[in-house]
Amino acid sequence: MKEKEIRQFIHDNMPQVRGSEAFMAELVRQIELLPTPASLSGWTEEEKQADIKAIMSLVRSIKRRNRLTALAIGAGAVAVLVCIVSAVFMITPVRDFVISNYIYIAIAFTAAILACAFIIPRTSRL
Amino acid sequence: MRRFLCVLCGGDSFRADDLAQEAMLKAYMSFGKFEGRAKFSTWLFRIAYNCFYDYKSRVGRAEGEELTQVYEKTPDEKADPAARFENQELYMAIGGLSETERTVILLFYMEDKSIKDIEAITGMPSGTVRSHLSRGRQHLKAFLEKLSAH
Repeated sequence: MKEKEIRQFIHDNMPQVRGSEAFMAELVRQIELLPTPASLSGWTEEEKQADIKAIMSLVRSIKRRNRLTALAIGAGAVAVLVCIVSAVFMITPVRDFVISNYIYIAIAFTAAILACAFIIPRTSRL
Repeated sequence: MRRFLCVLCGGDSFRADDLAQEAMLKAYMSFGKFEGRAKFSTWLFRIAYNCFYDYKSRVGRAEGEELTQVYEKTPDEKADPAARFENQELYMAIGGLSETERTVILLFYMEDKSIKDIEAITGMPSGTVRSHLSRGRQHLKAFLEKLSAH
């Protein structure tokens, strides 16, 4: 008897939850009768709006910084690629080397890109 | 959570909904204490589990009877008969388990919680959770084998 069969049996025989709307309506009614908890009280509408604005502006500045970083990396990558391709076509020994080892070069390039993709997010800080 | 409480209450969906509402209200009032170290659903299930046990202690004290034997073997008599009939096999399967084994089995198989989540919900150490899970699993396997033999 496998684990999957036990799980399937329980899922097939578990009770179905009904009356969610009525449940939530009653819950909301009861919550409205309660005093506002300390964790949510003492905040005026202006304070909440100010906090929301501060967070949104921080999010916008992070997005802008990420956009500029992405553009810089993109431009840098294009420049490096142009140099490499020029070197490959113009310098004969380089061209011969690339043609005979293009698979290893492709693998190394892919590994380098993946390594950057994993490392860069870990080093970024909010 | 409602489904979990319903099975713990032996099919009594009205009792389960009362407990679920109590748990949600407690969660609302103590939301400031949620530190975000565990998942929100884990925290909510913990509150629900504690509400269920408080209810059982109250019932046990009020009626002055042992909570284990009768409760374990049969579904709640006050439960909706149609619902009990519908899920009869599940209640029979878990009926022979202890309270803690039943809780662990339901959380693991019905609610798809991890061992770590179950530890956080029940407050039991990892070894105890695994041991209950293992015993519950053996019990269920025996039940299902008997069921398929008939």
